[in-house]
Amino acid sequence: MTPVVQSICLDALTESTGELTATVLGGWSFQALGEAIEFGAGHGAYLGLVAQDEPVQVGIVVDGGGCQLLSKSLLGMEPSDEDLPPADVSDAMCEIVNIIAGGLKRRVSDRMAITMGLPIFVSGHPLPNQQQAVLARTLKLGDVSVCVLLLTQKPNSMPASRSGVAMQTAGQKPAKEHSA
Amino acid sequence: MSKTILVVDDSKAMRLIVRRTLRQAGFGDFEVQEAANGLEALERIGQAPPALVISDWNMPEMNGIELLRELNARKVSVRFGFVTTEGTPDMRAMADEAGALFLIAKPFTPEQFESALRPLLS
Repeated sequence: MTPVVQSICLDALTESTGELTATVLGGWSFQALGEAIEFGAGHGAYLGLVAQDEPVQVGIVVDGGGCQLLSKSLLGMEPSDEDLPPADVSDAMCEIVNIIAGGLKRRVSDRMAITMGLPIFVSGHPLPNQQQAVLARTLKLGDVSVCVLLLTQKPNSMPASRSGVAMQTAGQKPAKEHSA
Repeated sequence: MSKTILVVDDSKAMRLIVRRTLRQAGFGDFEVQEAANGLEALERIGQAPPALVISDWNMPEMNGIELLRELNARKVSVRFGFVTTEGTPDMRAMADEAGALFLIAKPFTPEQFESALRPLLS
């Protein structure tokens, strides 16, 4: 995926998150704050997809309190309501990443074919290896800061499985880090 | 007409959101039943066909389009529509070809539900 296509996808993800905010999150305010360098200590919902025959992970990283607020809002609850159990937060955050990934797919469908996988929710943030590149943007949804991100394979990196996990084949030299 | 709507989605959160949106769209007098995938839905529909099936597309076990095709193969006549993240023209065409009556892309509004469902449930 070229840097231009990555940028288009990140813009589409941003728009898609804004659409989510305006609809099922009940019309929260929405602001794109700029490119993110660090993701902070948080939790992440991720969805693997194949775009232009390349494995890509789409994610949303939020701190624990933010996950609760987003999940409660998605479920029509008040912020002051009792905290949701982890399984319900996981389910809600997976649905959020599912919706924003679907919005990305819809927005770029005239440019590229995308096949979506199923979402997962993990504790912690991504630590990309040398073959992976992360493009991220910080967004403010109401009072919640989130980071949406695209995790892609760098050009000339090793062959990758469709799940987005890099695989090294026998005898192959490790790929050089891409400095672009 | 049955007064039941079957919501098929593997996400408990989304089933709850669809329930809420149905209420907001003015369909609060319908009983809403739930299934977590196509196989569960097939069983429920076999027991008592609902007035409408609202199904997600991507689900484990049996996905939404497989469910609709299986219903067609079994010659089960039931109103069927999708509420899904998969709103591309290709998928809309696929849904249409299989006999889906609507495809509402997530995220959605009560107005979209009202507009798509009212002609079917009046």
